[in-house]
Amino acid sequence: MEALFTGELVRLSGVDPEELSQSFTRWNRDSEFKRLLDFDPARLHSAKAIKEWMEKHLASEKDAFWFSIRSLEDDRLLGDISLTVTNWGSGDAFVGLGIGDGKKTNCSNRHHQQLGQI
Amino acid sequence: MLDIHTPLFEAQDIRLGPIDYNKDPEVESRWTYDSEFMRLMELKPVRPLAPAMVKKGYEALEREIEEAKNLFYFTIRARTDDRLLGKAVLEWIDWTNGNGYLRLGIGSDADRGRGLGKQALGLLLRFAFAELNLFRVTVVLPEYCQSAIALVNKFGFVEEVRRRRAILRDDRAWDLLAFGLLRSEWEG
Repeated sequence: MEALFTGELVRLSGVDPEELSQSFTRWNRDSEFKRLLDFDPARLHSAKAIKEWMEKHLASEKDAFWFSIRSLEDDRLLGDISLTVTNWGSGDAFVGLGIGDGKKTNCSNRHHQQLGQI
Repeated sequence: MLDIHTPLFEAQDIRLGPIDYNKDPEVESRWTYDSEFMRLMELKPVRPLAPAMVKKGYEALEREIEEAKNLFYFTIRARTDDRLLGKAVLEWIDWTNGNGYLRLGIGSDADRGRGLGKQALGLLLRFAFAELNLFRVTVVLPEYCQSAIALVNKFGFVEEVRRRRAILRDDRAWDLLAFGLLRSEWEG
């Protein structure tokens, strides 16, 4: 069977709210990142508020499959990707993807999307 | 011409009203036993609901209205005797971008095909544009909802999105369509 969570340049791992919330606090300050990620008004939440939201989301949202994206080269946290099933009856889902790490790498969004497709 | 005296909630044969906890659960429960209506109204797998469960649904709905502040729910009622005919909703309102999703349904087959949906849609659109000052509204419809598609086309909605084969029902796949109407198109 194929390895589901490992690609050529990145791997998908679990979401650690403590770690991911710290990263988001940094990434959010880049307004370009925020505006590419979401269409509602950009807000700068504290790391604490983001962490609490993530913990609550992980506990309650059974329809969402949420992963951290880490680089294979140095295990750096690059962003996150999620698959949220909106209609189990018809097998329909939304993909959400954000690469927050601005450092130039060889990674491309295309690889992340391939891993995210079901 | 919009006028402060023009009623927002009254049309020729119908009115928009609040939920009536005494009368409505029984009526809406009967609609949920009609799978044809439910499959027109709901995208997710349908289920029949006892009146007590419909009532619980209303309570959850009113809680959400309070908390989310981006949802407007109306019952559609007959002007003559206040009988519950259907529901009309403006939801997921994105205030910054001025968009809202519109949904409405006439629950009983006997009440459909009489132009009541058209009156309700007219009221809901006026509410969206004249009261909420939205910039545009969106209606999402499976391609098998032929009457609804004909109705939105009559109002000048434009098909904007076609999510291919997004609804699976009765051994086939149906496209899910999103129609949009801009404020300028509604005014013009």
